[in-house]
Amino acid sequence: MRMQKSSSSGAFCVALVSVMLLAGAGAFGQSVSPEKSCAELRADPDQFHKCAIARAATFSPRRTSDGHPDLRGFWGRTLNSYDLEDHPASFMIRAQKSMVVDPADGKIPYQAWAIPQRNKNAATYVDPNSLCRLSGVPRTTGYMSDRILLHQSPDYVAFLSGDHGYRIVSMKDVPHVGQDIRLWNGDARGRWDGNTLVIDVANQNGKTWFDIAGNFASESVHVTERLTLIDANTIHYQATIDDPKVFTRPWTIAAALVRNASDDKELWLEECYEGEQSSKRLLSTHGRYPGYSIAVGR
Amino acid sequence: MLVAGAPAYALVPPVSAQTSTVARTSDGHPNLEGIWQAVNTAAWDVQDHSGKFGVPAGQGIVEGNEIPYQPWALAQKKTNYEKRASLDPEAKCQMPGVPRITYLPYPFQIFQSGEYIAIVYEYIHINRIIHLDGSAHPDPELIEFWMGDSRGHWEGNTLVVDVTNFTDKTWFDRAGNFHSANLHVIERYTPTGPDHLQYEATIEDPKVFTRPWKISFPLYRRQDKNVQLLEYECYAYAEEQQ
Amino acid sequence: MRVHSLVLIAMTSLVTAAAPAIAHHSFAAEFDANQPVTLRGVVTKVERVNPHGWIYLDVKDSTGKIVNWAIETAASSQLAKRGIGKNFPPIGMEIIVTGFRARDGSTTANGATLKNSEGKDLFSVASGDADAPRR
Repeated sequence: MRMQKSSSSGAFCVALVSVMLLAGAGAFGQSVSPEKSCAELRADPDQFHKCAIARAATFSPRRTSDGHPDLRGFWGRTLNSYDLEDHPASFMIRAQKSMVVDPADGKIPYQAWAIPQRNKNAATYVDPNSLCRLSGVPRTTGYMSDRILLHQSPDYVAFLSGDHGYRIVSMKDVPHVGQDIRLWNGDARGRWDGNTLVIDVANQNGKTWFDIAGNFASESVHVTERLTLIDANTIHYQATIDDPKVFTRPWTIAAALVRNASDDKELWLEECYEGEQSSKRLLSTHGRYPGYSIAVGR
Repeated sequence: MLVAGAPAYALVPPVSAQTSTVARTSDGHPNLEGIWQAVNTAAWDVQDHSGKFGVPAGQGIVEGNEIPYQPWALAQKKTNYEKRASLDPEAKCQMPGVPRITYLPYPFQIFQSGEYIAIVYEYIHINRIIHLDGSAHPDPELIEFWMGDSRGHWEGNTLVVDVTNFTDKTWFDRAGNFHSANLHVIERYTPTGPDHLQYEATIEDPKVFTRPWKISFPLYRRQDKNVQLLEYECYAYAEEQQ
Repeated sequence: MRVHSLVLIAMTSLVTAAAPAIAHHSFAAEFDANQPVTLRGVVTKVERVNPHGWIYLDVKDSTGKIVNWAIETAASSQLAKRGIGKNFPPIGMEIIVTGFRARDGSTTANGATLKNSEGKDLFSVASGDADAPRR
C-alpha cells in the first residue's frame, strides 16, 4: 500500500503493518498470516525465504495458455546490491541483512584465499557495473533492477530492462553455447519444475561482481536460478552459485521480486552509452577490474 | 469441369495468397517472432557507394538514392563524412538510433504480445518496446531518447511503428548522414514469406531535409542451427583497448 | 510562455523523499559525503544524459573569479518522471545547488537539491539513495 509520508494516514499505515507482523509471529519465528504477503518480510531474506517456501506449497498461480505459471509483467527488486552479506548503513547506503540463505550463517563460503581477494577487489577496482558493464547473474535479475519487464512464451522467457539490458532464456532443449563464448550475462536455459521456472546459467565471463563490495566468482561459475510465484504480486527468487575454484561449496541467495504497483507500462531506455562522464572520475582513483583470471592470477 | 479440347493448366494463385505461409498469432496478426538480420552495407553508407579499404561496395537502401538535404545540411554532411572516424557516435560505442540499429551487422530478436512488440538487439543490448496499446508518445519537451520512442499498430499484415522523441545525437550511417531532434521515423515491417520481412522506413525532418525520404530492404530470418543472440559490448571492448 | 510552463511543472513536482536510484554506481567511490557544497551560480548548460545528467553553473569563487561547476543529476528519464522538462533549468537562470563534491578535487559535485535565487526549493536532482530499491 502507498504510504503518504506526512499525512496521518501514513502513520496509521505503518502502525497497521506493525500490528499485522506482530500478530503473525508463529512457532517458526516471524511469519505472516495467510492473507498477507511474504513480501512483508522482504528486508530479512532468510525469513522471506522460509515464508516463501511454505507459501509456494499452497499457492495456485494464474497460468498462461500453455499451462505454466504466468510470470509476465513488470517486476522490481526489494534489496540493494551494495553487499550480498549483512551490512550496516553508511552514507546513502541502507543497512541490509544477508541475502545468503544457505549456508545458514549468511556468509559466502569462500575458500580461505578468496576473502582477502574480495576485500582487495573493492579497495583496488571500480565495480564493473559502475563502468557501464552488464552485471551478470544473479545480480542483474535478483537485486539490481527496479523495473524489469518479464516476457514469457513457450519457447522463451525474456527479462527486459531499461538500464541493465536484457536476458533471453531459451526454454528449448538445446545445449549451452560453446565454452569459448563468454557473456557478461551468461547463457541461460530454462525449464519448468512444477510451478518453478528453473534457469541454468553458464558461460559467464568472470568480469562481473555480485555486488558493489567486490564479491566475485570465476568464469567457471554455474548459477541455477529458481523463480516461483508465491502470490499474485511476489516472486520468490533464488539463485544457487556453484564455483569450485572460489568457494568451498555451492551457496544460495534468496530475495523477493515484487510486481510494480502502478499500471505504468513504459520501459524507458536509460542505458549508459550516451557519452557518460563518470567513468573517468571513477578510474582516477581505482582501476578497471580485469576479470577473475587476471585479478586472481589463475 | 473439363471442357473437351480446352488446355489443362493450373491457375497461378494470386500473390496475396502466398502470405498464408506466414505464421500468425492467436489474434490473427502476422507472427514476427524470431531472430532477424539485415544483409546489406547500409551501416557504412545508406546510399550507393564504391568499395574502399575495409568498406564493401554497396547498392544503397535509399529509394531514388537521393537524400534531400537542405543546402546547409548538405555541407554539414560533407563535414561529418570527412571527420567520421572521430565524429560518428557509433564509433565511440554510443547508441546508433533508429533506423540505423536495424541495419547494423548484428542480429536482433523480436518478441510479440498483444500489448507490445519487443525488439532486442545484440548490439550493446539495446531493447525497444513498441507499444501496441494506442498510448501516446511522451511529451518531447519532457524527454528525448537516443533510440526514440516507439508506438505501433497493425495495418493488415504490416506492423507500422511511429518513432519520435529523438535526440540530434545519432547518425544514419558511418558516412555522416544525420538528423535533428525533430526526426520522425515511420517504420513498416511486412512479412513477404515465412523467412523474410520487408523493412521500410520513412524519414521526416523538416529542419534538415526538403522533403521526406524513404529506405527499404529485406530482413532475413537467421537459419543457422540453434542460432541465438550473443553480446556485443562495444563500450567494454573499446575501453579495454585504451 | 513555454519556459514559464516548464518552471511551473518543476515547482509542483517537489520531491521530498529520497528518490529511487538507477543504482549505477556507488556514490562513495566518486563523491565525498564529508565535502558538502552549496553553490550559487548561473546555468550555462544542461545535459540530459543517462545514466547521469549534468547541469553546468558559472559560480563566483571567493576571489570573485568565475569558475564553471559540473553538477551531476539523476538520469534523464528519472528527471522526466519527476516532471522536469528537458530544457529546465533554462540557461541564464540563477540557481542555488546543494550537493557533495567529487573526490578527485575537480569542480564537480553530485547534485542533491536545486533552489531558485531566493532560496525556494525547485526540485531534487538527486540520484537518490545509492542503490536502494524503490519498494
